[in-house]
Amino acid sequence: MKAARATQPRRLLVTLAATFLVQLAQAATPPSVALRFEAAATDPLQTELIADALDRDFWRDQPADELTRSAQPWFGLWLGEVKPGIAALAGTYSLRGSQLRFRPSLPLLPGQTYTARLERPGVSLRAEHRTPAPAGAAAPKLLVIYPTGDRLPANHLKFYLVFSEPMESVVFLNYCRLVDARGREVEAPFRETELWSPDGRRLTLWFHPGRQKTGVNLNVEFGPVLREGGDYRLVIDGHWPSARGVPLGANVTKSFRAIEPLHDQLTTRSWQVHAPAAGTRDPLRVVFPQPLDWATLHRLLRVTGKAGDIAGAITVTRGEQEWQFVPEKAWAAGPHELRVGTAIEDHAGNSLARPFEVNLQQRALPVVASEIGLPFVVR
Amino acid sequence: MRTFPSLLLGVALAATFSSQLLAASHLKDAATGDPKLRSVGAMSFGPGGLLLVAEPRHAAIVAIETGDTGPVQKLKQRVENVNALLSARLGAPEAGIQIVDMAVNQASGKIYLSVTRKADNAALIVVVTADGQATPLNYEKTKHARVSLPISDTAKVGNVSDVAFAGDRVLAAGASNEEFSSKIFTLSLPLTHGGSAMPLSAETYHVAHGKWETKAPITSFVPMEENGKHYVVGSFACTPIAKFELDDLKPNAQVKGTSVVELGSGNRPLDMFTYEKDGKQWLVTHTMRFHQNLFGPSKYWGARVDMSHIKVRDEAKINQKAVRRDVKQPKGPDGIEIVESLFGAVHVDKLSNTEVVVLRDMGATLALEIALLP
Repeated sequence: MKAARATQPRRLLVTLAATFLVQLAQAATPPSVALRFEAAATDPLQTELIADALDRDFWRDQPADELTRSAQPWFGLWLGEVKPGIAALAGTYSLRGSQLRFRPSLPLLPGQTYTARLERPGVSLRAEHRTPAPAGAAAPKLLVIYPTGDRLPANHLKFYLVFSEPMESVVFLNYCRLVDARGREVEAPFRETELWSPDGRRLTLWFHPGRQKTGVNLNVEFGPVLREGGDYRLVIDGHWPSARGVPLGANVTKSFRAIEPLHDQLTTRSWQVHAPAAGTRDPLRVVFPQPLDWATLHRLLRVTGKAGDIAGAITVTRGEQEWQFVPEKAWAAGPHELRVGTAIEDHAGNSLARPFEVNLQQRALPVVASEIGLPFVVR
Repeated sequence: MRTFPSLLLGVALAATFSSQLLAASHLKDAATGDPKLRSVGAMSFGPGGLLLVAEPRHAAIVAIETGDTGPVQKLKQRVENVNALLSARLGAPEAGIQIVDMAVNQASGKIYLSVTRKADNAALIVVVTADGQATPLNYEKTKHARVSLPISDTAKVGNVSDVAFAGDRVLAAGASNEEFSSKIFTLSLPLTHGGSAMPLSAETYHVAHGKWETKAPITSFVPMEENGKHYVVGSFACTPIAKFELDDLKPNAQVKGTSVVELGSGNRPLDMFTYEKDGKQWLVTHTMRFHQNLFGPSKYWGARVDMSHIKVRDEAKINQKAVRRDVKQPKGPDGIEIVESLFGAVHVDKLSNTEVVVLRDMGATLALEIALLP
């Protein structure tokens, strides 16, 4: 054990008696081998299991790699109790002098009890190891659902659910439902593809496009998800747990009315660009005639001046009908341009580049550049 | 894993000579050690133990040269409760792991599962061997290359839904989590670690539904070759099975898919692969239905489709006129059949031309087993 300390100064030696351990030695006395756990100083979940023998000959003819391959090894670590047929934790075994060591493939999980076992002729040892409770068990929050308005087109396509922390993935369909005015659940309203932001905090929840597109099989046979004039509630179930396993707690509901569907390609013709005054950091305000997609408003609009892109902060307000831009430095007088990515969409997937649905019996659509400019002058 | 029918012979021959070398030749500037996967999603095998893993939230493909090149040792007996096995091996409560996808290495028979350990969001690949043992993939001797998918400000298509080796390239499908957009990415070989894929991609459009045309978000696909031309056969979120030519995939090109088979509304094709029996090629796809349950005990079921339906060129048999499965019959029309061994299949992947590995929904548990192909 001294050798172990000397060779691994950064690891914290956790002794059997001092911490979380119950050891039942049924061996002949004096014990020829003992179990202990050793946690990394920087992370108590990075823990190794060690069997210390008095003599390295104790491990003679007992190759460590056989243990690595075995699901029911004679020396290993189990979550909870050691039960017949329950596999041991996966990991690697190594022999260092008189020590046989087990390093789990993954860090241990907080708030769990693990049991070590060693079974050799004449020796039967158990040792328990309880990991610290998880930090911060506060419930996650569903911070906001976009769009924020309560009137959505009957061919509405998607919601953004913004959470306070990463949520459990691959299960979103179990926790999201759409209910009509009579309290009946709308059957299979959502696209099954799971689309999270890289940080796991924002889910894009789509209505099934096959239901919302005109003439597609699902649309024809099962009908659209929403009926114009209908009142609906999007319900996010409070049982949905965070990635840490803590549920939301209470259902979150967004109520809305389905209004006239939107089928037209977007245009910037009726956008109102309110130029700020020179020498100020007043916001540039752009007002839209209808709500636009919250996410693309953050990504596809930028402002340029004489020297190129202007750095600043974007705010989307008034039910996604107004975009504000506050520059880091005061506005310089002169010509500027609002650069607009034409992939910006309304709530029904119609963009500046093309409508969501194209009627092939009408004339071909003109090709639209990926970005267009709206000039304005700062005075 | 997907199969590339016309390349089977070549791949098999190459594997015979030096499968290890073959896999190595697909990576450039490869890194060693743990690739530290940030998220795990769809997986697929290429030749020589080359495992392709999608990092679905991070717009990247990680190609891992596993060194797992055989010989074939198939799963000896059914694993009754895969979640219990994995959670025990990963030190998590039984509800604390999530299986995301499954790929079978046909060279060794080993079954690879992409798994998330929920409590710490650990992204893992777990290997199930012939004896039913499950172990996280050991990276001590592996090499890998992480290739980013090109994302421009005007096409933020990052969420990768599928990846497959297609003989002379790797294909990946991605969907946007903002605008209604999806793309096929073509990654040239060798895959360069730290590199970015050539943006040979295009959005696909479908005219399968009468006079209306819309973008079609692809969910899964299988490469196909016919008369020297390379195709992608894909399942889409809201349309039947469709195909389009790979050569049409050019930056910003608008590609129109050709719908060839309709399995019945409300069925979402999941995994796809092809196999050959008695000189005939079949496409196998299993799907999840959300509506009526006319056949089988589960919402998961599978069908095989005679590849001649997929390869059809006759204008009278495509798009709106594509062959439709008779949803009230287990078979028909000719060349479309329900595969009974795929009832309950949550994930499937081909083991050989006679066998398929099935991760099966047993109600409260998931079982892993080998089933016979018809």
